[in-house]
Parts: sequence; C-alpha cells; structure tokens
Amino acid sequence: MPDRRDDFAIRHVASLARLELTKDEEVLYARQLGDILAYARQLLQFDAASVRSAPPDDAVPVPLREDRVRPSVAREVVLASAPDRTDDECLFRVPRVIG
Amino acid sequence: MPQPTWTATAIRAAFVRGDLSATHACETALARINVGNQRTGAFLSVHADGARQRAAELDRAADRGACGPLAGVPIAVKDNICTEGLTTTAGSRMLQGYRPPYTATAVARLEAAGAVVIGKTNCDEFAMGSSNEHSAFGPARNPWALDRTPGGSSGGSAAAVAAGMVPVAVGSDTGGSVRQPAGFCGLVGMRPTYGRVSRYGLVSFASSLDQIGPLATTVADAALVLQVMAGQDDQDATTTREPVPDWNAALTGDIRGCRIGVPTAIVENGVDAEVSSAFTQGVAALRDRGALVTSVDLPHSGVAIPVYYVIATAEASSNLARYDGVRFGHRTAQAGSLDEMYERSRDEGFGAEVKRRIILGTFVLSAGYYDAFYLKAQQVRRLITVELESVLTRCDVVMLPTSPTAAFPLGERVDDPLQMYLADVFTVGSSLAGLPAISMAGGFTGAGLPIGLQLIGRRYDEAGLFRVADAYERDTRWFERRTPVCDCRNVVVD
Repeated sequence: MPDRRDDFAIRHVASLARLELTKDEEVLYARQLGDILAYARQLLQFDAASVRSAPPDDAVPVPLREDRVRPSVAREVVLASAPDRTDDECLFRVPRVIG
Repeated sequence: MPQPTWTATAIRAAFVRGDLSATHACETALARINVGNQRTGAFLSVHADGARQRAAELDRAADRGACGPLAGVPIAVKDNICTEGLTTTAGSRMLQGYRPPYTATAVARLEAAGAVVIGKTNCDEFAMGSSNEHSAFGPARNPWALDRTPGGSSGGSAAAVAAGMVPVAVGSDTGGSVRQPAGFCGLVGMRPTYGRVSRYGLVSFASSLDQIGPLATTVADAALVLQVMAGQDDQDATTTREPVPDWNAALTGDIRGCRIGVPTAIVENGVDAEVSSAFTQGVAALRDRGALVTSVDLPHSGVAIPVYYVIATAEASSNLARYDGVRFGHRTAQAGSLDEMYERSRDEGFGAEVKRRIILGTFVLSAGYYDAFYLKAQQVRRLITVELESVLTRCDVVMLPTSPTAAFPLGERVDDPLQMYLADVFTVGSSLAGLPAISMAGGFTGAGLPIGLQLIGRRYDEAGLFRVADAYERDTRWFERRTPVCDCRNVVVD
C-alpha cells in the first residue's frame, strides 16, 4: 500500500500505461499522484465487505437489440484518418515488428 | 413582462411565424462569435459555410412548422462530440485535425430537429478538468470576468452561451462538467439520468459516468434541447427505454407541496460565504412558492471525490488505450519500433492532466491495488447511490450549491490537481449514482460573479428538476442580467 510518496512506482505504472515520461514529469507526477492517493486513502476506512459493488446487479437488465445486417463505415473513410497506410490504401501501416 | 429573444424557444417561434429566417439567426450567431470568440476562446472551430448552407435549406422549407422543435436555432457543440466531417479534437493534440467518419446520435437528433450546428466549443482535454485550462488549445475565459475560468470541462459551451454568441449549447458531464460551467457562467445546465441520452459519438472518458447535456439561459430552453436529444438509441446499449415525457409540460410554476431536501451539514462546511448566502435565499424562495423544506443527511457524500477520481481515472485509463498512433490521431515521427511508436505518440499527444489520470487509473487497476482502491471505490459508490436514492424517497429533490465557490481565477489551481478536484465536491455524488441534476442561475457575488444552485432528482425524474428550477427562475429571473464585460447580444446584423 503506497502510503508515502516515494512508494509510488511512477516509472513502472507509466510503462504499464504505455507512457514515456521525462525525468521532470516523473518527479512531478509522483508527487502529485502521491498527494491524490493519500487523499483517496480515506476510502480504505470503509468496511464495505458486505456491499455489492456498483453498478447495482439488480438493475433493470439491458435488452439487446436484434442482430441485423447493415452497412458499416467504408474502409476508405476509416483509413482516411490513419497516420500511415499501405500503398494500396487497404491497411494501417506500423513499424516493422518481426525481422 | 418582456421575454428574451435570443433563446432557442424564441428563435424557433419567430422562424415558424416567418418573422425571422434561419439565415438571419445563423449570421447573427456568426457575427457574435466573431466578436466574442476573440475575448473568450469559447470556440475551437466555427463551421460558417456548413451552418449557412443548413440555414438556407431551412429557409427554403415550404412548411416551417414541420422543420422541427429547434428549427433555425444556432447551436454550439462541445468538441468531444463527434460531427461527421467537422474537426473533433476533444481539446487534445492527440486528435488535432481529426474528422470523424460519423455523427453522434445526440447531434444527429439536434440537426434532424432543425438546429444549425455553428461550431465546436473548447473544453478540457478529453473532458478531464474543472477549469478549461487543460485544453491543449488554450483556456476558454469566463464572459463575466475574463481573468477567471468559465468552469470545465464544458467551459467553451458555457462561455459561448453566457456571452450571447449562441442561444444554446451542448456539453458533456462526467463529474459535473455541464453543471459547474453553467453555475460559473450564470446558466442552466442539466445532467440527465444516466442512459437518457445516447453516448454514441461522445469521445469516451469514463463510460459509466459520461452523459451529454444542454446549457442554456432558461430552463425552458434546457428542457427543449434535452427533449430532442433524449431517448433510446440502438447504437448505445446503456440508453434507457424509459419513455421521454413532454418536459415543457412540467414548467407550470406550481411547486406547492414539493419536498426539498437540504443536506445542511454538507452545505455548512467549506462553502464560500456568498455562495452559502445565495443558497439560503434560494431555499427561501422555493419555500415561499409553497415547497416543503426538510433537512437531510448524506454521510457518505464526503468520500464522493476519492470514489469518483478512482473510478473515473480507471475507466479513462482503459478508454484512452485506443490512442496508440495506429488507426487515427497523433503518431510520433520519432519511432523505430512499435513500442516506441506507442509510447512516444502518447507522450506527445496527451497533456499533463490526461497523463496524470491515465497513470492514476492504471495504478488503481494494477495488481495489488485493485482491491484496495478500485473495488473499494465501487463498493462505496454503491453506498452513495443507495443513500441518495433513500433520501429521494422522502423528498422530491435534493438541493445543493453547484460549487463551493464562484468562478476562480485562471491559474489559481492548475498546478494543484487535488485542489482542482475538490471543486467537484457537490457534483460528483449524483454522477456516481447516475441520477439527474440541474444547475440553475442562483444570483451573483458582490463582485458580479454568477453563483450556481443545484437540484438532484430521482432516476428519470428530469421533469421534477425542470419544474422546480423553472419555478425558481420565474421568481428570480437572473437570466435577465447580462455580463457587462463581454455581452455579444448587442451585435446585430442587417
């Protein structure tokens, strides 16, 4: 349980979140998030073991819509937003992963 | 009694009568934006050509009465709500220049009702903020005091309406992002019951909390805009099949016997003296109209802020995982490998507050901390919900200030995230419970800053909120007061 600022493993958590932080950002966020977590620790005092978590499981069930075939957004429209795409404009392109 | 003319209700009526063309309303809004936007930064983009074209189509209609309940009304849309072919940035560099391939259901319904989308409004990045200072494109400013925040995250929508650039606007409310800006800018802002308005096309922040809602100068306008947007949508499984009543019919002015619950202990603690005074006067005004005021207790409300920030950031960390530089949005130019591309694209595309929240959300969902923070927060969320719903069996609405203070100066809290989060203390509870809540114009501080008063209602009882807010508005008519600093309503076109 992180109850001190230096216990907040900022670099590890940032890597889980796929964020590359500068050293300055690491220092700043570790301090700010430490403050926020210290505040959030008041939650831990609650004896809520018997409480079902939200959202309530007795809520009205959501009816599912019927399956039906309909057109989706055209491929070229979707690919128009892509930062990079293959020359035939059929695929998203990313840096090479293998070999 | 003179009625305001720059409201959706008045514009639509004048359009149907033939006294006003949609083109004239559109040109008036564009001229007012031209003046007001330089001072407030309310809009991130203005879509003059498209708006003119749509207005001209409406003017050509053979039967103006059939053009819909918002026919000819210029409307501003928060920039985290998708509009096909129009830039939708969510206030982020990550989505700079992004043009969505589809339109949000809420906006499609507004357009089908005859509204003319005139532009997209400034907001905190991905709606994460309470001051609009976390917009990647600079803050919006409060038309009542340009050195102060208009609130957030829907600050641009609030500034646009408060300055008279547009009669109505649409925002989104996750933990108070419609109500708090409405309060800071002297407007009416409604967060409907969770599930009332489709989230299809709303850029996701925290999916169990996000709702789209209207900002307007009058209760009647807020009711009208929500009426158009509300209702079940096949594109969003969380929308309710609950019928949408005629909310205008609720605006009777009659609140005799209405039971108003006041959580005295909360209101007396940590609220600015002028806000407290306005709140007391607001309660008295409702009592004078025949409402019954009772004191209620909400002991769990004190932990609503940590519950909210654990749950909202957890959901945000998941929702914002989609921004990886592959399919849309920003991609770094400096990547050798796929991993580097992900990390650098996100580092360059996201601002500080978004990174903070993603990291916090990732942390509370991570092994070893999930049970302590996330699960616990979900359990306490349930306690907060049960508590509010229980109170609302004994009274019809719960009344609170919208915020503990009036609008604070730009720069005052931006470096202290925890202080910024505490500004949401009165709005996050109803968000967590999924209950409807409305902020109404509740008077002014001695320095002339608006004060917001808030009502929380039963699930699907937006009618009750509109009824009480309208009754209050009839007595106080705060909407008649205009900002002496940045009122664009004196800009007219021939």
